[in-house]
Formats: sequence, C-alpha cells, structure tokens
Amino acid sequence: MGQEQVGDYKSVPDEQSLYEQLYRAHRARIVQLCRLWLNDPHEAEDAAQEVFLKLSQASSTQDPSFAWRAWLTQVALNACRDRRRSSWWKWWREKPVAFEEVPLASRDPTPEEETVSREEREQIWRLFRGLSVRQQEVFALRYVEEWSIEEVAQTLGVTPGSVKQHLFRAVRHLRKALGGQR
Amino acid sequence: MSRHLRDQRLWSLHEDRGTGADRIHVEQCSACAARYRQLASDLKVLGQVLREAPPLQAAFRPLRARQIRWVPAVAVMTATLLLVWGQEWLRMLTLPVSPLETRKNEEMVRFLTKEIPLALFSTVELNPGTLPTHATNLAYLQAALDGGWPSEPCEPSRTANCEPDPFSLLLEEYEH
Repeated sequence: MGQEQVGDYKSVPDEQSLYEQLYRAHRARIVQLCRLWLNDPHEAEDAAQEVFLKLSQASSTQDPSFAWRAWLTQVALNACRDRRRSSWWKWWREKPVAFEEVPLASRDPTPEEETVSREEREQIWRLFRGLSVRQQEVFALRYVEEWSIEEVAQTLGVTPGSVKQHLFRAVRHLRKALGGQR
Repeated sequence: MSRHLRDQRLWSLHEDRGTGADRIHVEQCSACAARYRQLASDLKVLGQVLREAPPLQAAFRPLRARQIRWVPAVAVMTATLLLVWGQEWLRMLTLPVSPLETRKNEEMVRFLTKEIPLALFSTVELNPGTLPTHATNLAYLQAALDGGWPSEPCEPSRTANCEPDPFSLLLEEYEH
C-alpha cells in the first residue's frame, strides 16, 4: 500500500531494532495523520503513542517483511476513531487548543511550500477540519498517504464507489472554498 | 468542442478512471486542459500542505463553528418556549367561563356603569330646597361678598352690630 518498501526491514537482526527502525521511520507520519484525524494535538500524540505501543507488541510476532506502513496507518486510523468515539462529550464542551507549530522533520521547504502562503496553509487546514470525518479519512489516505482508491476502500471497509463519492465531495468543497485564493 | 467536461469527469480522469473520450477531449480542448492542470495542481498543494505541521492559527477550531454548535440548541429552546406559551395562550382564550365568574363579572359591570356614576355625578344635593336656609339668605350672601362671614344671624335681643342689648338682659333677670 502506498510506497511500502517491503524489503526495508529484512536485514534487521532482532525485534528491538525492528521496532526502533519502524519508530524512526514512521513516527512523524503517524503523528501527522493523527493530527489530521483528531482535533486535539495532545490526543494526537497519545493516539500515536498507542499505535507504537501496539507496534512494540506486534513487531515481536510478525515477519519483518510484513507491510508495516499500511499496518501502522490502519492502527492509527482505528486509534483515532476510538478516541473520537470515546471523547465526543469532551469534544462538545472543550475549548480549542493550539497546536505547537513545530515541524515534525527538519528539512528545507519544498517548492510547493514556498509558493503556498501561510494564510493559504491556514485556510486549507481550517477547511479540512470542516470536512466530515469520513471525508477527512478518505482524503488523508488518498492524497496524503497516496493510497489507491481500492486500498482506501479495503481499509475503511466500504466500496470503491463510496470512496470516490466522498473523495470527490471533499475535493469539490475544498477547491470551491479555496477558489478565491487559488 | 461544443461541451466542456464537468468537474467530476475531470476528477475521474485525474484518478485514472476517465474514459478514452474524456482523455481525447482534454487533449483537444484548451479550456478543459487548463482546468485539468489546475485540478492536478490544487490536489498536489492540498496533499503537500496537509503533510506539514498545521499552522498555529489553523489549529484553533474556528469560533464560528463553536458558536454554530449552540445555535440549534438555542433555537430549539426558543421554539419550545414559544410553543408552550402559545398553547397556554390559546387554552386561556378557549377556556369556558364558569357561571359564578359570569355573575361576578355582571355585578362588577353593573357596579361600574350604575353605582359609581350615581355616586359621583348625582345632582340631588344641588336642589335649593335642601340647602340650609341661611345659604339662601340674601343678606347673608351680601355679607360674605363684603368680606365678612357672620357665623350666625343676629338674635332679636342684640343690637344692629350684634352686641347684647344691656336693657333686655336686665329685663330678663328681673322677670326670672
């Protein structure tokens, strides 16, 4: 699924090293996904911790050639869903909390980042937050994780037609709202 | 080209799900080709931005969204109150009046329309026949106009200035 490199972890000597490698390789991505799917940065961090706790248990039993990237994404998705379900009341009455604007991985800005203004990035995040939960999940898996529509459908347990419908609605909404700026 | 592709078909084409005819159309129609490029660019930017850490401001849930959460609750509460008040008002309007209450109301109306005007605007007291005799005495009225107000008319045993006549007093003592 999406850019999985199956043979990356084959040469790992023991499970501890496998876990560390996977943690280093995927932590920033998983935290980012949790930030996309949860409204609270602390909840996102907790969900990511939960994901890697499960990884520490699973890495001892699974083959290193296992599709860890997709597995981690799936576990992150489920963890975020569980947290959303369990904390609906907290969400209802909570006060908004600001994310710390700390880049997850230090790197030079890409050409796209340089061309997109700060206001535009804020607008995109705000609009993404306005999408339905299903649309957020589908959009993140397709355009952030770059999974295929069939992979997204399989992961979410829906039909590809349903994924396409949610995706197109999300794209249309985002593009329409950004129409004045882009 | 007479018809441009709709957004959904352009998006399907971008997802490698368009038909051959759509692809040919985009290759030949400059307007649709430009729209297709714009769509691809927008999706790339959206994906790129959402891969980055969220900007500080965007992390806040918009205030409007938080306010909107309370709007339905307030609207429902207001509608409920209005409904209850309206029902109560209608019930009061259609409620049958009891005979006892009707009689009380009739008595009140009669009191207000007959008794009070009689008491307030009665002209019986203005009848000269019922006035005190001294009020009709012209001399008495004249005295009042002149500035004085003798409390009682003079008795026969007094002088013209209403002073006691000494001779009549002596005569009365003698007779007794």
